[in-house]
Amino acid sequence: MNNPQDQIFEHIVRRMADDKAIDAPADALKYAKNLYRTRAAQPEASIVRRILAVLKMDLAPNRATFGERSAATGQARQMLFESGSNAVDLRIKAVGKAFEISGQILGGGFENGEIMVANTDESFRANLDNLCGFTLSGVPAGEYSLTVRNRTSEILVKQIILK
Amino acid sequence: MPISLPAPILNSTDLAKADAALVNRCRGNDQSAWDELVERYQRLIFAIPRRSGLSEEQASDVFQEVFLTLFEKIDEIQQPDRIRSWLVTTAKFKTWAIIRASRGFYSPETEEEMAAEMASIADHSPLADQILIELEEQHLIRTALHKLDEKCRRILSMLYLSESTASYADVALSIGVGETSISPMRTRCLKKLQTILAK
Repeated sequence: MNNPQDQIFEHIVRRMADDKAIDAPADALKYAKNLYRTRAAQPEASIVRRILAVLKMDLAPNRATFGERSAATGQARQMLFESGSNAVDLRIKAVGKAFEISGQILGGGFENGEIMVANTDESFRANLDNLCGFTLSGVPAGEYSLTVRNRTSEILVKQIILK
Repeated sequence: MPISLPAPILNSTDLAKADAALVNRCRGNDQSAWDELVERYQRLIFAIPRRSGLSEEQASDVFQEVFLTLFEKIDEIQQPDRIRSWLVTTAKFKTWAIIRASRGFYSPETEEEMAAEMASIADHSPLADQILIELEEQHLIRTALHKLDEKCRRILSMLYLSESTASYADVALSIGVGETSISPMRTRCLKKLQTILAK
């Protein structure tokens, strides 16, 4: 006769061996996950101050704007958006078939906040570091909105096209 | 012969606390928490209608309805640490609605009516409690496995979870130890798993 400990082990092992559960179909899973995107994109509108960011500079890689020298050899597209007392400095570069979006929120106040790039199909999130820097990797080509949040404010960049 | 030892598994308070934390993060509009919650429960929720005999398409409908209901009610759920029970009951409810409709029976519209209806049905139903206990235990074991260290997770998964279970020699080769080490390592890993489940 096995001791109680062995019986518990046997019970666990039997459950594992009998576990024939399979993943839900991918489209059902995607539907379930997407349900939350609309909610996650609209946090406590009554409390959060939302500020629209306006594009101030857009430097494509290997194409220098008048007066800019560094862009001539850069591999990343650089975009600067202004939003009230803050600015969003974005660097976008192709990595394989996807894109890496990195950058920094300038002007302070968003330390350890959150950044999200999203469209109707998917979203990518990252936490901002102590210097309000961030990196989002593996973002496929497409049209996205970008949102930066802290507890009280939200900066919205309505459209970023990755191609 | 089966032994009845579900209590230490089904009463895992640590896993229930982790569920409650996820629900609370969802309430704070944390998309990653929602994704994790869906991932954590997707197999269990899909298994309930499937084990009840519904087709894959019908099971997909139940699955989507369960998460739609969760989405709508997540701020109202009184005991987030009991989200597993809530999800299982909801999946059971929606599965029954489909089964009853397909048989041309009256289908209760509220959870209370459905609970009363289900209570009056004999236990040889496709959703017998024993099956649900088994599915819930398997869910908890899968969740607990993810909390183990990589080596233990691999040992136990290879030995017991894979469709064609691996031999000790296969596992030894996979993790780079001698074959004789596998038996004691297996015991230690099962102990760790049991500890997670019992906390």
